[in-house]
Amino acid sequence: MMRKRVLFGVSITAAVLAAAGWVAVLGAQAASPAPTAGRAAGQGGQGARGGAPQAPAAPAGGGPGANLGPDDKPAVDPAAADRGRTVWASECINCHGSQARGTDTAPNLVRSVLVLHDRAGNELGPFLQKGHRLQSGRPGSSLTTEQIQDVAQFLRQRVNDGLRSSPTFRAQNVLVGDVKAGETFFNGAGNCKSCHSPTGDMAGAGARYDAVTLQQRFLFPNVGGRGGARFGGAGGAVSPTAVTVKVTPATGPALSGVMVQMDDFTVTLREASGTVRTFRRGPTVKVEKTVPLAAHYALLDTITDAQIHDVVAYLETLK
Amino acid sequence: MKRLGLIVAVLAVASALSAQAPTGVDPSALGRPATTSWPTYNGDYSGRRFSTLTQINTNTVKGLSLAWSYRASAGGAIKGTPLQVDGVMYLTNPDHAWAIDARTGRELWHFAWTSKGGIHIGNRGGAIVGDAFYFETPDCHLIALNIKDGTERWHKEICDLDQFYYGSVAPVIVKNHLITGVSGDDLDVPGYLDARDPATGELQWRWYAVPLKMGDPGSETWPNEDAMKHGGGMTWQPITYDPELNLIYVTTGNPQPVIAHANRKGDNLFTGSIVALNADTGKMAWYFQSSPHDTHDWDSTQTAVVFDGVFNGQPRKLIAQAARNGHFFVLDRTNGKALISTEYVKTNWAMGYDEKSGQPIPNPAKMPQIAGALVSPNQGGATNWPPPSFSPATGLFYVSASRAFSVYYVYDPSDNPQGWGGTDRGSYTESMIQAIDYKTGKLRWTHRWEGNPRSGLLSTAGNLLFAGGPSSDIVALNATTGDAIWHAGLNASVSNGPITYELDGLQYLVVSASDTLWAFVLNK
Repeated sequence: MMRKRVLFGVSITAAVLAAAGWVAVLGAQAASPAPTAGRAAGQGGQGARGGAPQAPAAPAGGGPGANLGPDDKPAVDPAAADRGRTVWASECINCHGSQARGTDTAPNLVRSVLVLHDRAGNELGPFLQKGHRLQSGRPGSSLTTEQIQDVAQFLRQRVNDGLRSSPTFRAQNVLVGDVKAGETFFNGAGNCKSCHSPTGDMAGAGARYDAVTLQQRFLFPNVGGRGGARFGGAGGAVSPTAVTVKVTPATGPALSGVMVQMDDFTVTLREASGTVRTFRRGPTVKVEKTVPLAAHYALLDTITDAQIHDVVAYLETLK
Repeated sequence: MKRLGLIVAVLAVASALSAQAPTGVDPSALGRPATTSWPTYNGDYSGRRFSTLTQINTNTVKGLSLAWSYRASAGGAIKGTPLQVDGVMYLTNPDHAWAIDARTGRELWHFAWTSKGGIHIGNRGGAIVGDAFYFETPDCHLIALNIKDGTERWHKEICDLDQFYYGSVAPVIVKNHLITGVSGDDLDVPGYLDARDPATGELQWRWYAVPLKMGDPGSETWPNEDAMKHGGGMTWQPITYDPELNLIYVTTGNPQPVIAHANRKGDNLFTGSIVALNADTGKMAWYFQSSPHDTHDWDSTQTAVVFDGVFNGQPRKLIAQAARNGHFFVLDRTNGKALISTEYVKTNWAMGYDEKSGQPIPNPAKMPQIAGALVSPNQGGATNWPPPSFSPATGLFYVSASRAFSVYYVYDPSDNPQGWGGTDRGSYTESMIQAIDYKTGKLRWTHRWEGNPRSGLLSTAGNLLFAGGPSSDIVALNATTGDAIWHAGLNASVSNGPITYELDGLQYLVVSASDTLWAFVLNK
């Protein structure tokens, strides 16, 4: 059976909906609404290094839907969802829970296939009209079309809460460590003070960065990955954390610079002057690599989660 | 269901084909390595991605020259493995399929599907049965085309887009069953594997990766029915198959919710597992859970590679997997009993192995935490979808491996999280090829990369291993020693698993880098 479908964002008046008995408006695909939010990479996302997730190119011949993809899901109108929340609180919340994730007495609606199929109330409406009892004791059919559409918006918002694009998708409190222990680690076992100083480069770190950012930056100072500090970036000023190489050819003087690229066959460096040089590698070509952030990387093998939290707590005090 | 807006673009027809008419693929031939074709995702059913061809070898590989390149006009990076049958190459991208002359790189036809949506992250390839070509689309369709001209025979909806499923896996033909899997882990939905009639697309059997009711096998590893019915376990990598045992080996994805896991206490069978299914009934013969109660998005969908070998002096039917979680397993493929469990890169999340099953025991402290837990590998894994290779000539299992760290956070600390409820952030990664001796699980050699390439692999009887290198290059390594012998720069990093075949007595090597296929040949 063909599923009835109405994409939200297509203007559908209550009168039309009522007259049509919730029959969907077909052919609405072309009126794709603004994306709910670009979803993060799906399966293999992190591993799909061959390329970032991308919008599909237009198929040959173009046509409607060419730019669908992650955007095929209904958008949420926050105002409508807020109105829906009010209906929810008065008629649904006792049984289905504040987040629509169900209780002992009623099912999880975020996982409901009917809710997932619903577009602007086109499945929810007929379901409620069958007499589903509301918490006020009234039948579901007593809800107005607008109320049902609003509840549908509220539910779609709850579905989206579970997605990586959700506004609620963010780190909670990571400030759980011991400041004193963090300071001790900084000055002792962590060997941080060999390069850093709480009154020098780290002064004000706690004011500059939130706790999660501090945690990330001290564990992964190379963030940016490929093409980042580890590889000397793409150009411009030489970062003090960039990997450098010194190449001594069989004949001629040794040359040093930021490592641009290295594989089993060639090594490329950028000299301080900006000149880029590539050398063919071989038994008579000596290559020495220097990794300024090596101490950070080594830390990953030894640091405990408790130490991480302590260090973050300490760094956060450096206002 | 009538579909609106379907268009078929046939840009060129079979007139450009070489002299012989396409005869297609006989599934009964897929049990042994082909030489003049690459007829299924892994080349044959074993998943070894090993070729018996020897023209290109450690001595001759430096003589490889470019035969042609072909740029896919749509769909982005080519992450699928093309097929080559009767001198024609069949290539896929999300919503697109092409036939290309395997000798010249000339496009013969192009089929474009108008999408209703779904995640367009990649397509792993297609299958050929007889004179039909099959592939999945992001909007949950299985499509059958005529290999002759790319015209559509039929399409069938195989999953529900509204539940955030999508299609990406390469179907595999086993006897008269077209085996198709599903993708999608944004919402909490169950994974499944289908067998479909190649003639019509009708469902023959479906195996769910999770139990659907209490009392079913595996239900004891879930807290309640709601949790397991929404427990994930996507089947997004192509299966392997043992024709003699008539067992399909399907590998399953991570449980759901992915990161926050308060509502799915237990091992969460049969997610994160290698599962053996009867090819004709879909009935489970055995399972091995390589990632019990995963909380790190480490699907265990990596290829379960089938080979025969000698273990402790006894000939054995084996199956091996280098899992995304960093652990390597060799099992008896008749019963799923673990013979070897070991790490192929150092990890920090397991407390050891269960003595009886050989499965890793997760360390609760290294599950995602509100304040963060430093975990290795990271979410991308110690390896991922790019296929590994096993060479019976060297006895080595090769895998593109990463030693990576990140911090895993719980974002939704409630007792009933949905979807993801957390993620990892930050990353430090070292990448390498690991060559693992299947008899001991020990590393024979490691080839470190100076960057983070991660490609599929191909090994050959020419004592070569082909891999993507760190400089947007394709690299030939000595399969015995790991020494790099030859490379060629491409325009982008290798994005699939290389394949090889012989045509007109010449051996080809074909590999994709982003949107372009590169074909090399050893001319005589």
